[in-house]
Amino acid sequence: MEEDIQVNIQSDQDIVIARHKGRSLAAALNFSAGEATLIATAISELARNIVTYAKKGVIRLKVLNGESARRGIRVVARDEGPGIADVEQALRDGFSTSGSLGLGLPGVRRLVDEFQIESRRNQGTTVTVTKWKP
Amino acid sequence: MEIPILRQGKVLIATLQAAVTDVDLMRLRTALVQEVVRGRSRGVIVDVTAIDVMDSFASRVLQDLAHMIRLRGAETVIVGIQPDVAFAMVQLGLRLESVATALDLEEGMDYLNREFKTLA
Amino acid sequence: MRERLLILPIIGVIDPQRPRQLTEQLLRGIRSNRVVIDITGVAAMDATVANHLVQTVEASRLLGATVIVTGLSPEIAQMIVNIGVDLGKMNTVGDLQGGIAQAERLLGYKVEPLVNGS
Repeated sequence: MEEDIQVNIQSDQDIVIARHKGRSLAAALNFSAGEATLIATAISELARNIVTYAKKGVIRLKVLNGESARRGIRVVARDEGPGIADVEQALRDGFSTSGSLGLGLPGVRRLVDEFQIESRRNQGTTVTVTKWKP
Repeated sequence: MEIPILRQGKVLIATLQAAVTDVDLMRLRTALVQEVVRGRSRGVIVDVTAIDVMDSFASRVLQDLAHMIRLRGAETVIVGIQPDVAFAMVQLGLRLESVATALDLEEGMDYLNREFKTLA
Repeated sequence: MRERLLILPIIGVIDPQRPRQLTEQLLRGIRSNRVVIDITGVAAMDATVANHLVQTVEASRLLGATVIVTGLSPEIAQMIVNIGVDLGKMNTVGDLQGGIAQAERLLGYKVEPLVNGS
């Protein structure tokens, strides 16, 4: 089993590839089907943001070995796109641009255990989420 | 990947496969609306049993699809959303408002038949 | 086709671990399109669990089921309203008998008690 997987994100097909790899990795680590779906869904949303707003970026999937044999999956979604001007605003529930769910970041946060975001205007965005096996 | 559309009387049935891309979904939306017009269909069933992830885009396309089809005088039912997928959708805040849902193909057909009777 | 009713009684204190399990159990058990969740036996519920209940109702809806929540105490009802959920959108009834009665109304005929998930 690969411990570190990288998927270049540029098209809608890459979104499917990324979430499929995420699901496979989750299955290999014996996450439950439900948890694997949460992980795959989070990856899908993050990859989608890259395609929509940054045109291209990278998703990295890492296996984590935590304390007392605890295992987890870390997803790092990184792009060199326009960045988010107001991260606080983007993380507030109900934030929307043109009536859509916007970046859907509050939603993604609910799917995972740990959520971190770094973004600056014109300096790209990096979202890091982690899901631990209970 | 093209998604096949089956015709069963006045109902169209489209079955999605697991690796459906954004482009596939948008093509399906267009094709279904065209078929509804062409065949004067009264109902559309979109079967998502094989879908393992429903994200914001898929949710939006399905809502648009239902809306466009309703403008053509037909009713849409989404069937087969899996329990895990439903749970993830709700976490993301995707509710598929104003779109009918049913457990499976059979229930979807029952729903449409009831609707047809009411509207007749 | 005969529609069947699934009744899920929830008893006791719901600790944070259980909601996820309950939801998974419920969603997998949905084979009918009317579900009654009875929380008469629930002693206490915090906002997290109340939130979870709401999510379960919404997820059930995606599976094509209509959920009726019965046994809602005024305290829990208030909690749900505080979360921001419009109780008018949820089917709620005071007690289990009332819940079954409402389900019967929705189904259009009398419901027999389920025996061991038959």
